[in-house]
Amino acid sequence: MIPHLWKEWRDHRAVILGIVALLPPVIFAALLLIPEGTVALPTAGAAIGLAAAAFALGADLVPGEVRRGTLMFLRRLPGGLGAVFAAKAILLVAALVLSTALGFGAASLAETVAGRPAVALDWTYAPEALGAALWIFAVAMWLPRGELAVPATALCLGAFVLPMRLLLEWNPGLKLPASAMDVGRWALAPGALLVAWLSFRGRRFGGAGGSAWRGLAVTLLLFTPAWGYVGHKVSDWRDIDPNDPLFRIRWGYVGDGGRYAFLNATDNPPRPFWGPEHAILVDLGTGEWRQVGDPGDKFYVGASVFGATQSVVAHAVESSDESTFEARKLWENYNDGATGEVFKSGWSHLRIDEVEARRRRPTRTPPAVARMPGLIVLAVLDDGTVIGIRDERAIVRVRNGQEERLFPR
Amino acid sequence: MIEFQGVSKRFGKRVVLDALDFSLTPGVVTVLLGRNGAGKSTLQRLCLGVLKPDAGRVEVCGDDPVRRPRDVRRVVGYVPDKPDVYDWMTPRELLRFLKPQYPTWNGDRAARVAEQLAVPLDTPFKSLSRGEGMKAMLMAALAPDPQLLLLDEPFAGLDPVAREDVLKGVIRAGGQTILCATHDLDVAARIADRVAVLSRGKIVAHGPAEEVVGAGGRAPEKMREILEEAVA
Repeated sequence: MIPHLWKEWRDHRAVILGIVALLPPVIFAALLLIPEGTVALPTAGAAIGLAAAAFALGADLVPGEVRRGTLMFLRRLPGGLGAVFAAKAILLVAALVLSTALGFGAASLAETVAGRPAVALDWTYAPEALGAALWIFAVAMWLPRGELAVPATALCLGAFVLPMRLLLEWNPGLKLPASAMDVGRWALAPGALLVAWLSFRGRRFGGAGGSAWRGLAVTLLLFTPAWGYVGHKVSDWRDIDPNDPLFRIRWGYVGDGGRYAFLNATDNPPRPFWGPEHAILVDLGTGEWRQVGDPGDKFYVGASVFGATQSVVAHAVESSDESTFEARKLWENYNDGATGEVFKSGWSHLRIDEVEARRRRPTRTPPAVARMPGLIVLAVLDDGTVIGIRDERAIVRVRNGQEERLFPR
Repeated sequence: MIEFQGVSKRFGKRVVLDALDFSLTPGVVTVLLGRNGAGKSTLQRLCLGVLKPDAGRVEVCGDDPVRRPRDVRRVVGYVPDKPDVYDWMTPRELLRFLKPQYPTWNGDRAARVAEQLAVPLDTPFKSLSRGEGMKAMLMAALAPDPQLLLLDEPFAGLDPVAREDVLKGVIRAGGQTILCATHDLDVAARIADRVAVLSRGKIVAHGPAEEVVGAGGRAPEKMREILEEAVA
């Protein structure tokens, strides 16, 4: 290993010494020119330092060998490519640390000289920055020229990260647990090193093509769990499962005749992943149910509105303006309380107090039922049958003191 | 020493070696004769395990170079057709870099060869002439006392003096199993104990040098046509 480290140092010392000599004064001068308050200087200095080492060294560690025709020399060494790769990775990580520290130091000095208040280094995006720097090293192995490594890395990471990003964008309100995000962010760097090693090993018998295919395949494998996880969370977010142990009915309404129940429910844990409520329409006669609208849509109790003869449940699909708490513009579907069918749709300005005012008045509950713990009464039918929510988890029918589960079945 | 059985190798659509059978006699200098692009370098690289055959079996010094490259490379010396080490490196630094990788490293032999071939040990490769660079590579290849020495066009671009140095210093020193690839019939006639002619991906002639290329480079009648097609 020592001869390989010596070889790497000797091969790249001009670049490293160039960074050491040029980076601090350049950062010092450049950051002094930036108006106060626009950026946190130490963080900007550290980021510039990291980028300098990644671009100048990481992007050229392997393409440089190809360009100079020395890769063949390394490929035929008895020790194989393992020690060669380890030396390159060690040199790169050391150079990244050194360059980042120099950038930070120069920026801090600029801050002091300018008499600006000291700002602590912001570590928020440190995992992503380190990961991106190492991915440049990995992706560069697939390319004939190091200059292409930065755009190629952006393209590659973009292609693998974008689907997850889009899924999150398309599901506003969906927040992944911070711990899962941290795992993903911190996995970028070791993932890059693994892909880099397997890509470099792909050069054992030849050119960049095999290395690129191998690297891309491993990248795909590495991202698959992340895609799977995000996909699962999105699916969990979008779809509700009444048989999920976490299933809870937050509120419900029973339409005329007691045939349909309009429920707002969730199956997401309360913390740290607070999921949306879902509007589900249940046929109490058959137990069949369906999700209505998108995650976050809710049923509101309506009275007899817009000339409807039956009682109406307003199903608010989307809030277009939540700038004020009191007033919201909602797209409403009006479900017939007796049939469950939507009979009218349209925008509506609803004030929260108006919505509250539309709530059905409390029903007089039979004394025997009122004494049943954990039962929230939703409706008392004409024949005295009570429809209620049992322990927030099920819709039950209570008749003659006997409780029968209607949903979920 | 070297055993090729039905070995094929193609690059894209171009077939370089086509179900090639070949074996090397130990202790002698075998010249692999063929025109540029005939597959001589490919054959040698297959011996080192830096290329993988598409079909067939390669065995070098009793091992498969693809499965056990470390064991093969430790006992095989290789001199490429031009120095492919770092141009900032000096021959002395090259020896220092390579030494830990070879258990059979023989520093005395390296020193002897360096002296014999007058290798400028402390001059970077970028400042060496082609001949000096090739001599330095030869010195590095001989330092581990290899059982087998692969030379890929070692005389290309060498002036007559340097060529003579290499011939005397190494190839005619004797005892070493050498496979020397060249397209030069004269070289083959001068140094070979045995000659193998590679053409269209196959060995088309293989035998004692006098039978293939003849004494003084005048090939026997029956070989002339083969040589003309394979080398001219």
